Amino acid sequence: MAGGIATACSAVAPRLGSELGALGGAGVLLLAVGLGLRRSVTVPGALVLLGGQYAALLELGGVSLLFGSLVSAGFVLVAELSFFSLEHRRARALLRAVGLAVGAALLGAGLLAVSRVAVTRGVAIEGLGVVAAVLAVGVLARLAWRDS
Amino acid sequence: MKRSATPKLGAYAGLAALGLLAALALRRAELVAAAAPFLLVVGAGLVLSEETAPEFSVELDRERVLEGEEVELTLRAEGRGRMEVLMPLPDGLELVGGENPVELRLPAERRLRVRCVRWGAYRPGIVFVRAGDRLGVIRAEGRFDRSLPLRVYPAAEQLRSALRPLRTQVFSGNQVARQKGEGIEFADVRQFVPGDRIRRVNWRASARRGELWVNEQHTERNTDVVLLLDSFAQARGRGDGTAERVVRAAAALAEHYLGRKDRVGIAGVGGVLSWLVPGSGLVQLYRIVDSLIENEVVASYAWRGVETLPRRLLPPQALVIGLTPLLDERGVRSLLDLRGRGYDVAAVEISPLAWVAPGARESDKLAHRIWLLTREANRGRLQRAGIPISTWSDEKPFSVALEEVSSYRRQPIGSPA
Repeated sequence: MAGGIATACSAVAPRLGSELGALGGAGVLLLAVGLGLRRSVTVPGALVLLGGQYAALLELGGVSLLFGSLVSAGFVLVAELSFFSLEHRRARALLRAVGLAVGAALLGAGLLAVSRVAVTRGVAIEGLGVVAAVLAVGVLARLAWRDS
Repeated sequence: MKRSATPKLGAYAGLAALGLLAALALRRAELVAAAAPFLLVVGAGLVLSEETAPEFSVELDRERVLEGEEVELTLRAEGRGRMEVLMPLPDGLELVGGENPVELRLPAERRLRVRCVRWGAYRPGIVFVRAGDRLGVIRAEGRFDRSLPLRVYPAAEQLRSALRPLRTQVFSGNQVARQKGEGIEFADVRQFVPGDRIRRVNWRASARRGELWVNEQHTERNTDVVLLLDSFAQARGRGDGTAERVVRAAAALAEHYLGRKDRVGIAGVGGVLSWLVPGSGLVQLYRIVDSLIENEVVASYAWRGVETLPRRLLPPQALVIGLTPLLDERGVRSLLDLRGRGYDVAAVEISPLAWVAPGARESDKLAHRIWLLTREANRGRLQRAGIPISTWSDEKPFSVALEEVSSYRRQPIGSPA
């Protein structure tokens, strides 16, 4: 799945396809090594590399709504399947991963549709980003509080 | 139960934060769409996870079993939710039925069939629990100590006969004493003296001799037997060793002598000195077996000789049977010491040779040969001191080794009983 994302991103890129492919390939390689060594810490690292490839593709342009939604679902699926294989969870978790990926695709499609409709209202998008970032920081803070 | 975040939670939260910040920096809604699912999974996981307080109880169908038998371990879990449960079994217990670890949906009850492979005192029933939320971001783990005592007694070898002591005690028992008196076994005839019972008159001898002659019998007395367990050192392999065999032999001897109304005591000489003063009856058998299964080899360089044993442990005229692997000089000296004090001592060597193979190098082989010679010399020392000794190994049952000791023992004719 990770390889599929990396290949698709480099294939649809209007230029610098090989550079994007190398970045995505590094992510796939890191993921493969991490799963082979059973190191969960490599999963977010690999996703960051794949995400970097995707962000670069976005900067180059040429990403459709459907493609963006599928990539969002692909990221979630890669992450869920990676943790599934690391944690030896039951088959039920596999179904849940697929469900989450479908949900991620729908969510991504919805968000992208909203963003394209309201593309002239940049303040709203920025506001949404700020709120989301604050939420993420809040989650991290709560996580740290629980661990302590 | 202690709750903690899984690596997944940290990874997802980090990815979401990074994605959203990147979206903000690059002004790309597509990155928001990519990061938002991770954030939602984290948020949903935190919201949906709930405190679980399961309660566990463990039951054993029996607390005392014989080696090789099976017991049923029942685990009852109260509460709600789904969790993985692991009940680790100590070495010596083997799972033969049931699933362990197992995923349970509470409330639940699971039964495990456990075979008691090796004798010993165990405490199974420690329960490790792990529960996760549905999205796998929060994990709760706990340890519940519901351990129960389980005593596995060694399957003692049945002995048809054992060593006869040279001297008996004053109480009645099953041992035919050399003393003459009231008893069943015929000993001799003598002339009638006033006070003799009429029923003891030997009419055939009286008719032949023309005067009254009476029968004399040997009395039936009990004996005191002290089992001296040498636990200074042991040789062992997978699942078996000299310490195990010492315990097995001691259990067989204790059962045999106690069944014959004798008094049996235990003295464990080794790193830790332990003893059980001689007693008789079924209760004493349980006491002995209980103390045997807790008998362990503890490495020590301290010299703890038999002089440190209480006097009442070693009654006069007691038969002392040493069970020794002859691996430590101190065990040999203990037997010699007792013999020097005038005790009736016999020894069974629990052969460690099955677990001690010569090495591959010439120097190792030489060391092995020297070690064998040293053992032979120790056996010779015991025999010269008047202590009969035979070897119990894989090649023959324990009863045969005992029989060898019996035949070796010189019983002085006419010695006082």
